[in-house]
Amino acid sequence: MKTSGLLFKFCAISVLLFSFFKTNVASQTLSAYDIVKKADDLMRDNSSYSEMEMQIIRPSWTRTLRFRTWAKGDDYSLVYIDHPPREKGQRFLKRQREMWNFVPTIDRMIKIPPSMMMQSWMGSDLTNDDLVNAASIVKDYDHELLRTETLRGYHCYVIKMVPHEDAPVVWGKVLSWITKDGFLNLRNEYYDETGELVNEEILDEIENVGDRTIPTRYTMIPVDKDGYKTILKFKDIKFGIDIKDSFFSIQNMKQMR
Amino acid sequence: MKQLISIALLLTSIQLSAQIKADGYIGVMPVGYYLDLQDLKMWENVVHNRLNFSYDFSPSVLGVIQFRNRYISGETVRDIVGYSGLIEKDDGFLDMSFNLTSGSSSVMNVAVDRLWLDFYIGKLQVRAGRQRINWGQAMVWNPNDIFNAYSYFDFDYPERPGIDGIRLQFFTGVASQLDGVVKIDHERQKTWAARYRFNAGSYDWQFIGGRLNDREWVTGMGWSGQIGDAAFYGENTLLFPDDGEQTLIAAMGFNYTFKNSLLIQAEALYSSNLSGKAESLTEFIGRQASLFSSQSSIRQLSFAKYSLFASVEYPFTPLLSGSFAAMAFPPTRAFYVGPSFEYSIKSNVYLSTFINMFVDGSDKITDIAAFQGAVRLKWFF
Repeated sequence: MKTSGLLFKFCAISVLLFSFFKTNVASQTLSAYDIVKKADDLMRDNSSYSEMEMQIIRPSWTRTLRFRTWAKGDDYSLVYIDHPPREKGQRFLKRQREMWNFVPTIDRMIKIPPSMMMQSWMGSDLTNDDLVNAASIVKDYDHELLRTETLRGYHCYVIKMVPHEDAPVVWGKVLSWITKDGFLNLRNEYYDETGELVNEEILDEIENVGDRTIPTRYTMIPVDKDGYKTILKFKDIKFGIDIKDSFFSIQNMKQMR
Repeated sequence: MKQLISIALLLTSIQLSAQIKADGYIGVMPVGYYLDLQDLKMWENVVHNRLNFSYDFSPSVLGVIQFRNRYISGETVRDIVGYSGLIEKDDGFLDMSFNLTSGSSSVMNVAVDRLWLDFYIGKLQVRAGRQRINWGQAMVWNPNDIFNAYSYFDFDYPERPGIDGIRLQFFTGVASQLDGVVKIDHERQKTWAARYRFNAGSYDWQFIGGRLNDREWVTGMGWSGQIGDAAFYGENTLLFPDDGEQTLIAAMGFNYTFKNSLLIQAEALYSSNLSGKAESLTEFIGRQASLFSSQSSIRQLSFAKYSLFASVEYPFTPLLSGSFAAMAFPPTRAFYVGPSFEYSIKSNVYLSTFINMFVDGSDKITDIAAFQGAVRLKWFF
């Protein structure tokens, strides 16, 4: 049996969710570290339901993935793939550090090993580093408030994040633009260890999603590759949904439709 | 054939009620075969369409019907005696495989391989009808897969055949379940078995036990876990026939994915019942044709006592991936190689190539014992 490339989508999804959570809130008066920490803590114990669309765009082709995700904190998530047709119906379950994939067409449950979680998905512009280290944005980086400036009409803090020596991070540094008003993360720049800009990430289509206003579209663009980008759009998102830890079970994974 | 295509097109274009879901695929695949023993060279063309339907009767009752339609034409149908009959074979309690047309060099078959009702009753799930029961944990050989043992070499039937029976799944915890299955086949032979699957120490474990085909007792266990970041899994099954020798079938394997997405896999299989003599390779190859259309036994996962497998898979680009698999059967000098490629032409259209090649090295001269090569264009809808 071949191991499906879809396994990796789950990683991408968890990470995207997480990167979404981690960068949305900041504080005007706290230090750069506290801003990131507070943002991290604030979003971590939240539950959510979302419908997402990911587009991988290349000069000569585009591929689209659509999925629904239920998540609780950093420990629990359940993902259902709706598109493309070949992978439709596959589900992924994460409970703490363990993950499973259920493929209904062959009635097979696969336990996903850590090495498989480290891959990027379908050559999207999300790196492995994005996936595995998303959770350590607070612990693995030093944070510094560089300056304030105006971006797309918003007054923003610019925060520089440098990974610790021993952190398993490929970036040399990351710059984040966070609005003073509303703490919206509007832009991130990812630099390699020689200080070269590798990826730029644009967060826009700012919408009120119920109890908060957030950017709903993320566009990751590798700077040295013309016509390459990955877009993640939240079609629907609900925060603070009432789900128990026991919702994230193999029974629900098998019976969801 | 045109009708099939129009049905497929119709399904994608009409807006079905929310309670009904429909999908499937259609593929065209020319295949070439070479068998050394008979010095046989043959080809066939397979048009393979699959249709899946499900209907939500209520939030707790779900019905599913899935079938495959195949139009096979070429020298295999023309020259192999009984080929059409082999295509039509159905080992289930109900015969739901039908040759609609059967000409001198072509055959059109419709086979229902899933037909079940699901009932969700609290922690209990009852599935009655033709279904696939997949208890495997390993990736290539599955000794615990006592209901649906399958051939690794069939690359055009990922869904695998189903069995006729009833399955109870009782969800005992968030990551554990107790299963009970009763199966009945076309000879009215009954198989019943239970499995308990649970999670402990970041491993999934399972224990199985039951009686196969009214003639042997079976017990086994399996696991899926990790060593470091690599997946580590295995399963073994002991068979105690009423007549004959006790048999152990055991498989163990691991896989590891590198950061560049290169996936390496290795697996080993031990079958105490197999001899691994040269003639058994020929028999094994001959048996593959019938395995593709019917149910196999875990006794026949390989032809040798010891089987070793290794493979690499690599996505060269997001659209093009390749894999290379090899098997060895020590101490014989026979081996197997199976390279494959897949290219995504459009969003839902994939072009694939497959090769199955057995090399018989038991004589002084290394010789290709059997070769199967195919190119497939497949559209998912």
